[in-house]
Amino acid sequence: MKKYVENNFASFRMEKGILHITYKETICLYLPAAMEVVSQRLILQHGKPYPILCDIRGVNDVTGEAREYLVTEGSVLISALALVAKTPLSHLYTEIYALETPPIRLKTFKEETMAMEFLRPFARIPDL
Amino acid sequence: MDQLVNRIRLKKITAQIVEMFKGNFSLRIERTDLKDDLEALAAAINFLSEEIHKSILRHSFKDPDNIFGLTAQLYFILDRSSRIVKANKSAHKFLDFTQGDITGNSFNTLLSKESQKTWKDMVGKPNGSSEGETCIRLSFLTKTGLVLPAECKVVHFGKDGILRDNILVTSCHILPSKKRPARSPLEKYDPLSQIAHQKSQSPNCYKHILYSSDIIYIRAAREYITDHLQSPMPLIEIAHIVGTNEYKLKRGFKELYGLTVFQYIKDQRLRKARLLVLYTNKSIRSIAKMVGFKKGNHLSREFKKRFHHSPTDLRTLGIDPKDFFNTLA
Repeated sequence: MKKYVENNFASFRMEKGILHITYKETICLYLPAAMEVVSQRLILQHGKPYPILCDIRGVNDVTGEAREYLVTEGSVLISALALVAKTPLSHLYTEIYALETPPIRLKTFKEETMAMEFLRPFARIPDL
Repeated sequence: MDQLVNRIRLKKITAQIVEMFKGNFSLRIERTDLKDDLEALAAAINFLSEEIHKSILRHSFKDPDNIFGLTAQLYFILDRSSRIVKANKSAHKFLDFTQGDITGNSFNTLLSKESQKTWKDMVGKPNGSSEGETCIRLSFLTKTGLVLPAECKVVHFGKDGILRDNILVTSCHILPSKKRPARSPLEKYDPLSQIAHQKSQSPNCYKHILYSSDIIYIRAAREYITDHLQSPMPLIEIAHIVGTNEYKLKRGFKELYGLTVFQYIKDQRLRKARLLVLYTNKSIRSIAKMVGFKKGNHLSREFKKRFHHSPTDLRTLGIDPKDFFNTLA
């Protein structure tokens, strides 16, 4: 299984059974971008649910269509989701995402270490 | 310097709030690369404006006979070097310019930075100047610095006819909603003016009004439905869980989201099923169960109706997921 992949919008890293997704700087998430991110994530997951640590600090704007896609299709095969948000803007995005209620275990964190603590119980045994 | 930049950003936020107060929800605040509190405020106002705009669209299109009374068409006639030859009144009004302000200027001056690039790429294409029609998404900038996102149709005219060698750019927008004059307290209690007021209401006016308390339980119902897609749920039960009755939930849900509860449930199930078909090896039967269909053939039937191919076809045809998404985008 690949451990690291990158596309135009984000980088994806599988580590100790947790998938780390980091959005690139000043990204505008419009629908095709959201589709590509979800598609890349699902390709990496090989049909299995994973806990995900998603760093959204780089996201600059999200369109309504992209938001709806991330809430519906984007919540497939996620056992738990930790969103890392440090700026006021990324906090707003996490609040709105949580409001639109994807049916997954979801928490927002300022620090990555706390986010990892939350996700660890859901981690899959790493592939050898 | 920072103070000056922030003052300009605040000015734009104020301008957007004034536009919203006027009933114009088509405009957006131009976003910057910053991520501070001011930017979060701009993003939040844009989200709000977008939601209200969507809701207005949903309600307006319920009454298709009145569509021309609710929308305005913006048009610009450009010469081959993209200079504005003419723009109609609506274009001036929506963008807050006077006729003299824009005639003779480059069309680019009306566009956001990103759209300037899109426009340049389009007219610079080898076939960009040949006769024909193209659809393109552009963002116009108003005089106050707000953004008007627009789905535009660009028509290139050939060497013959009245518009020879010119380019026509058009887009359609919802007009700012007109405010009804408030009724005076005297009128409210006068039986004759009450009858006149009732008569003046068109028969197509909303008979069903949503109050904020209704919106809270409808949102709660949607949340419950999304969290329990796997288990079949009678509507009456959902209504009781969120504290209302079946009739109110049915009417209110359609009013708020533009879909019936069952259409919403089916839509959510099918969208998730499609991704599971594409990205897992699970059997169609187990995917059906995962998303809440009782049987695999029920999923296949609904899947085919919605996506025009069965789930099995989607797998066996070996569609590259990215191509598949690109065709949907």
